Amino acid sequence: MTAAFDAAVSGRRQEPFATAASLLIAAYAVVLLGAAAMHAGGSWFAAPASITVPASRLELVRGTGQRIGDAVIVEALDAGGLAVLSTRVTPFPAKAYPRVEWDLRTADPRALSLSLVWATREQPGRTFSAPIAWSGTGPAVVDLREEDGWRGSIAGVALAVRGTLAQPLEVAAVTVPGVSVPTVLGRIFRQWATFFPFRGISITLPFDEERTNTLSLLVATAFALGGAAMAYTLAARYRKRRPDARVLWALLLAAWVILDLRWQANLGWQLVQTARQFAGKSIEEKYQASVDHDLHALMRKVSDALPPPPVRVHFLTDDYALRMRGSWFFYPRNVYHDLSHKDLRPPEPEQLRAGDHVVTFLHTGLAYDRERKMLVWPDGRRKAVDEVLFQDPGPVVLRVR
Amino acid sequence: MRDLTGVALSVALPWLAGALWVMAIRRDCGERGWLPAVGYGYLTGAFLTTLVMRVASAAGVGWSLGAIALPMLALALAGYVAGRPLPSPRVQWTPEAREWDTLPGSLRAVFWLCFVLTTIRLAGLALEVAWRPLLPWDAWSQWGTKARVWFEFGRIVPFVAPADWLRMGDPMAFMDMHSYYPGAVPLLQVWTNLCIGRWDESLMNAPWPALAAALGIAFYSQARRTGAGAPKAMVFTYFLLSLPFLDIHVALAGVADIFVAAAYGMAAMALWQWTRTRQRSDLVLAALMAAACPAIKIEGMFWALTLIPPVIVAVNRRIGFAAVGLLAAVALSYLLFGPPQLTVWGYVLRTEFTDVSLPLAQHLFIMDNWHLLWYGAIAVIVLRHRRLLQPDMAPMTVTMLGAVGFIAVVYYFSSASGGVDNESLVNRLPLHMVPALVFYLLLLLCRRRAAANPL
Repeated sequence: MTAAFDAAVSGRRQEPFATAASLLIAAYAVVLLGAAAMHAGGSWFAAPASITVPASRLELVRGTGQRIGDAVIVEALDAGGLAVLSTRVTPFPAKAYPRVEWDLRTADPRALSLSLVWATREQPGRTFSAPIAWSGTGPAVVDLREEDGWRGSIAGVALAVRGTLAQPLEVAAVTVPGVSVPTVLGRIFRQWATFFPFRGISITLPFDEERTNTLSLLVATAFALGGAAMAYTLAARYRKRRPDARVLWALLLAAWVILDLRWQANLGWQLVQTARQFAGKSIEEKYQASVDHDLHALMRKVSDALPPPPVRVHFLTDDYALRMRGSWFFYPRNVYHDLSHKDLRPPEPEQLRAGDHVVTFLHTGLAYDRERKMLVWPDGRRKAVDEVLFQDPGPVVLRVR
Repeated sequence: MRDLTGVALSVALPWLAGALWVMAIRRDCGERGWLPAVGYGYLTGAFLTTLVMRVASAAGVGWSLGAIALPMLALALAGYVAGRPLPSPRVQWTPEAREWDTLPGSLRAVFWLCFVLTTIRLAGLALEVAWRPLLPWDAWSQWGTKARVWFEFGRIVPFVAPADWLRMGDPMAFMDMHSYYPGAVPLLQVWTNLCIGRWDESLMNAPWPALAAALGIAFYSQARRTGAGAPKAMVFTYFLLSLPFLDIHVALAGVADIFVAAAYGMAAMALWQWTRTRQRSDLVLAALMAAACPAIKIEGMFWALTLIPPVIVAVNRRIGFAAVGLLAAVALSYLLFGPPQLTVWGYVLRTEFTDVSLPLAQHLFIMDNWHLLWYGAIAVIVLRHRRLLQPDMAPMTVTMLGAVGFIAVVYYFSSASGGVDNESLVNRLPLHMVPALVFYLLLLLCRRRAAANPL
């Protein structure tokens, strides 16, 4: 096959690139139309009107929270580890509305477990549910075409929140969009044009949002490429000709370049953002321009209160991410931070040596008796310290005597 | 200007020393091209730089630009002397140019298209690295920590386990998230900072784009040696360097995985060349790159071990297949009869199966992490299944079986399953094998069982 590659695009017998381009365009069209038809619930052209329920009509039936402006803020789960926001709706046919979108925002979405709960007019005593995969960016979308219970007339929908609600969850609205082939196509193209910015999780999940895409560009391209290659090969065999490998190579290269151009555009856009944010700045200025600039400023203040290295520093704070990230700003001082996610244990009194520094911030394990200049353990043990920095509220820096 | 000069020096000096030593290693080799030397030169030189820094630290010589650069210059000179007489690049270019002249315009256009796209990609990634402070969690919790401390003290100081830190009370014994991780990558960051003359958390990551460029050159040169024409070799080089997940690991520099990927890929390519040409220099290069793997990350040891079975297969196919079969039987026996848990180099192996297929499938086949690579791999292997175990391909296939087997065991039967399930690890091990995999696919598609093609 590769031996034919050299001839593949040379244009000696035919125009393989033109053939490949036509085949690929046709294949994309077939794949897109097929996917759109599958997701349109039988509505080819006219979409039924979308149903939007604003936060003012959402009721927090479990968990605690409050209504602020145009949103309901869920602040805590109930004793059973659950919060539920629900609303009744004018019954609508499930078949015509195969998708529900929740307009949500939170600073920490990954520890949350979300589900859509609904009731139908036909089975009023029963509720159904479906999990919602949400990356934290854009609306939380659930596709219900495959759900057995999504049938008949839907009379009410609810959002169930489980997991760890470390940060408040803001719920602005729920929308049940009316779909047709054109609206699905529009959605697919909008999803393909999504910008994937570089974030902390990008090193492991650069395309996290794609898992909830109606049809990811990769899947569409793979199907289009496979379909085009197969159609071309079968057509050639039908005509009792040997398939021209040049066309197959051109198909592969074209499909790859299409995917890669989107990625290149994303990288280019990201580079513009990065340049605006960081170019020409010193490291200190870059930190100030970063998303965690507040933390850096705070840790800078603490660092300035510490002696230069080598010095041992115990950094005590309850939050794991804060502990890890905050520690980074102390290096090259010799900083200790507990690596466990849970069961955080403060050091024992005998593990604190004279001259060690202790930084406490949002920490509940050890108390500081300012009057007696003592660190106090929950069981009453004590250790004499000198105060280096005291902020209330804020970090406390102590030197062990 | 000082920064630019420093960064250029930090990349150029190891690259020069490494390339000259690769030329020296390939001294008695009939096909002694500059391109493989340049491709393999950077990683070789970077590895040498870390060795020089380790020796200086052990000898009590404080690190400074001069203290490291002078030995590196001496090494470059020694490489030059050992490699003399060096072939003329111009003489080597002549047959290339002749071949180029015979190519039709459309093929040249394909070559230039892929070359330009690759160059734009690498340039953009280099700028991203130059501007951005450390972003990934691992970069500032376990790699940059060591670099920061070692740069401050001008030598290697120990990082110990948290419990030891508390027990010892030694102000010069440090800790971070993974205190025992190898030091090669932080040492390279320190070296770059020494060249710049100050701690710079962005510019110190210059080795990442340099490595990506070196990987591309090494890949292209090895592809040419298999007999692939310039356009085909360039297309596959573009395929490799355009992979989004690989690009991300360059752009968000500071994490060591791409170094393992490059070292393992270069080792596999050199080894596979050896199975075809039996040139000792290929085997030496493969051994050198394989030795770099565990110096970069602990799992690099496992990756290096996957290169042993193909050597046996290349020497004696029957014995090799028997050895591979035996290994598979041992693994299966462990799963059936072994203890529930077994700790091997920090990994806890379990006989219990953890199904992580869903996140794996999402990341390989739904999200655009790897473009069409995994679809293509399946298609090529199905289409070329008859070639897989033919004598010329068997060592390569056995290498890839070992790589896939390693990933399968780690993901489905080890403590790392949790990391795959929560998706923090799901693409990392595949990244390590991807350069080798792309080369393997190129070989599978290569009709010609080429004798070496001099560059």
